[in-house]
Amino acid sequence: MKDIHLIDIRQAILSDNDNEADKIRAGLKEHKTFMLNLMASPGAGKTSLVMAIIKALSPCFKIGVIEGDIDSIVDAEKVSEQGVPVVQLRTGGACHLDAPMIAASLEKLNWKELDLVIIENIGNLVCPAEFDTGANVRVMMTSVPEGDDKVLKYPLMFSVCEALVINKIDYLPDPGFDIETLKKRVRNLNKAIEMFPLSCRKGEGVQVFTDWLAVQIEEVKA
Amino acid sequence: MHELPFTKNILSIALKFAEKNKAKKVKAIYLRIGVLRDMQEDWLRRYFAYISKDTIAEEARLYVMPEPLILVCNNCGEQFGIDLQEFVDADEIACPACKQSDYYMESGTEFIIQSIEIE
Repeated sequence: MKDIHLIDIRQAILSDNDNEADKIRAGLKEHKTFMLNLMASPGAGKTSLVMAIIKALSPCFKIGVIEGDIDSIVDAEKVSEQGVPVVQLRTGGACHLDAPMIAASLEKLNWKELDLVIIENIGNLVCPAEFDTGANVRVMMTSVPEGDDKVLKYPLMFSVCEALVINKIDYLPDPGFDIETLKKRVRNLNKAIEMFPLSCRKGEGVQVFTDWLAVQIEEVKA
Repeated sequence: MHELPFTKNILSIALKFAEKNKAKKVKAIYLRIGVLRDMQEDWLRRYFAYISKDTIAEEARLYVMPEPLILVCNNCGEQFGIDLQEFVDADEIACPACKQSDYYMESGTEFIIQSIEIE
């Protein structure tokens, strides 16, 4: 008879990534650099929000950006026109950024000189939720045209983020989007999440978000 | 189809432990996956069969133990299970024992390789 053994492992499937993310976080803390991981579906307005953050906070903080894209450099060009350092990460098909990719990008960014690093993750609501990048906060972005039922389809993403930006409120009223329904669903999954309805295009509500972000950055620097 | 990167991690952890235990073959891999993870077992198996070719884990069976959504009441400590769609869409989630709506998630996001069976 063959000898069969059961080996107990009990290890997180993503433990290699989680360990690397913890290392990144420890390094950031030591140098008082704050990192934000911005996640959303394609077209929600991530790049517009990155531009709005740069506009509002670059007078006070040194900012750098890591642009994740499957295969283009359009967003990185837009951001670098704002005069902030940008690293473009072209994943060549991979649908998320992981901690080793971020560690390599941070080195290129001269991050120890920076107060704020913004990661613009790949447009996707599934995989980015699974991979810790070492960021201090995870901000998810959704938008009015996407509907208020996004929460039902991608619950993990809504449950792991510290903040939710609800973009394109200038499209309201919209028959497929009730903001109170969205907030209720998000709150069920994540009681501690901060929510920021805003319009990157019109500017409404943006300052409430950038003020909140500035406070988070100051807390790390203090 | 987001199962592929995870399948690679499952294979590499299984192989690491198999080698450490001088295994000739990995017969089975037991996973614990929370319902919030939205992992499709079919795709996990399909990807695993593909990437495990020519390793000692080729032909290993994957067993997924789904972990249900369990909430714990912050007020009275009662544990209660809830359906995922109902959880997201409910107007208010109240503890079945004390009727308060103050809870934390105890289970539902697990993503663990629990054990392997080796020969």
